[in-house]
Amino acid sequence: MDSLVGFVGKNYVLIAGDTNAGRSIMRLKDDFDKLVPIDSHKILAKSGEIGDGNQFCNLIIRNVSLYRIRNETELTTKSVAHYTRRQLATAIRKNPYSVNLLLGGYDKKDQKGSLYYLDYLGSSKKINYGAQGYAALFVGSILDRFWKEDLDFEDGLELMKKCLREVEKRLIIGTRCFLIKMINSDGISVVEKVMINSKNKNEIEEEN
Amino acid sequence: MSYDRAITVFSPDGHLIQVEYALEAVKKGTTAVGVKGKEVLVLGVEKKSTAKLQDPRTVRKIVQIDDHICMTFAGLTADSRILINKARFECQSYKYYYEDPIGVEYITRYIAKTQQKYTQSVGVRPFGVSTLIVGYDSKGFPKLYQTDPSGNFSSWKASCIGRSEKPVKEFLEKNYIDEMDEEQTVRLTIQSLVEVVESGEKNIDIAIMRKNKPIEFLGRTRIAEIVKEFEEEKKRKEEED
Repeated sequence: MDSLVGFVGKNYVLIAGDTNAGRSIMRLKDDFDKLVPIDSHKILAKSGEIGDGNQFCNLIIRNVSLYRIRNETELTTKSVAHYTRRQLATAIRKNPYSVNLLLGGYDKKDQKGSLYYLDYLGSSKKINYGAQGYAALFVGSILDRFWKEDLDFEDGLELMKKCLREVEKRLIIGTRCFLIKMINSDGISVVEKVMINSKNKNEIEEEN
Repeated sequence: MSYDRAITVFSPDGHLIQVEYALEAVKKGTTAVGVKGKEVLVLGVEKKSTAKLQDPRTVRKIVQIDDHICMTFAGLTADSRILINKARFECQSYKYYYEDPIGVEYITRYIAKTQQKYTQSVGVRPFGVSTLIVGYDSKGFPKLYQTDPSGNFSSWKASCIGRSEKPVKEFLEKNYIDEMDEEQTVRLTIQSLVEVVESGEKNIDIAIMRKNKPIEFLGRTRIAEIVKEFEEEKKRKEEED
């Protein structure tokens, strides 16, 4: 089951996703990147059916690009969130996409990052921190307690690792490996690919 | 009702008169020129002189179709908007299905196909537009293509469309050399336009397409510099004679 965690910090957005792709009891791939860049400053983190995720993200990316080419300007994160939600909402009663998403983006105009929670029914909400999948059950309380507005990058990364450690510890399905990406004014960058081994209770091995 | 008549029909001597009229419309449009260098593509357009109260920035003749493909046109601006829109959509559609960026020849063929469709459909007239399309092919070579209202397309080393097509083409045929570098290509483009454009360099737009780089519009001052150099060279030549 996919785990996605994200939150907004001081002029950046951190999003992490596990790197497992599986079908029923089998792990098909353990280096699967679920954090898809929509344009230079936005990530769509997908969870759910792999095929639906691919198709849907592809659709959003192509339409956002078309807008950019046509109008010589980029859409804001808010606009992309609304557009994405609209696509999910019109599909739900016809040909639903089984995808739950976290949309993170940085807008140069406001110089702020923002995060949106979207699900397959067509819900959309702007959030400061949140998660999709089983991870949401575990990290919700951690983020409630420790998230603050305008966290520095180092503190943010620590908080993210705290969340991921908890997911690895408590989720019975092995989700050892996570990919953390950051969006800031410079664009999208991969922060770390983290392997979490709860045998070393307080240690995290970093795999680059 | 009135859709039962095709507008483009053959004349007794085998011509498509509507298409030829469309070509006439193109000949009335402002000049556009494209030149291919060794590793660079340059587009130059004659800008229609804007009225005093008009904002000149809204009249853009060189447009981006995709991140790596640009085009310009001559003829009916409103018709060109339709073609440009269709082309932009097709580029994204291609990427949606194939994940690869579209090829220059592919999109040219698509635009040409669209133009031809409108010469063989009921109730429509041909596009009064010829286009110049520039981009780099999959092997990394610069490519310049031209389409016209009949739906023909071909690849060129240098070409010109619009009202000064004849004199500019003659100039290009005389002065074009293979494998020019960027500076030479830009100079040739500007030189070919300056002769025919009324009121000189203020009404010229130059765009440079380099491999894997976004399109760059040459600044006013740079164009003015180059034009000045031509004029001084011309004066010198006249004095020598």
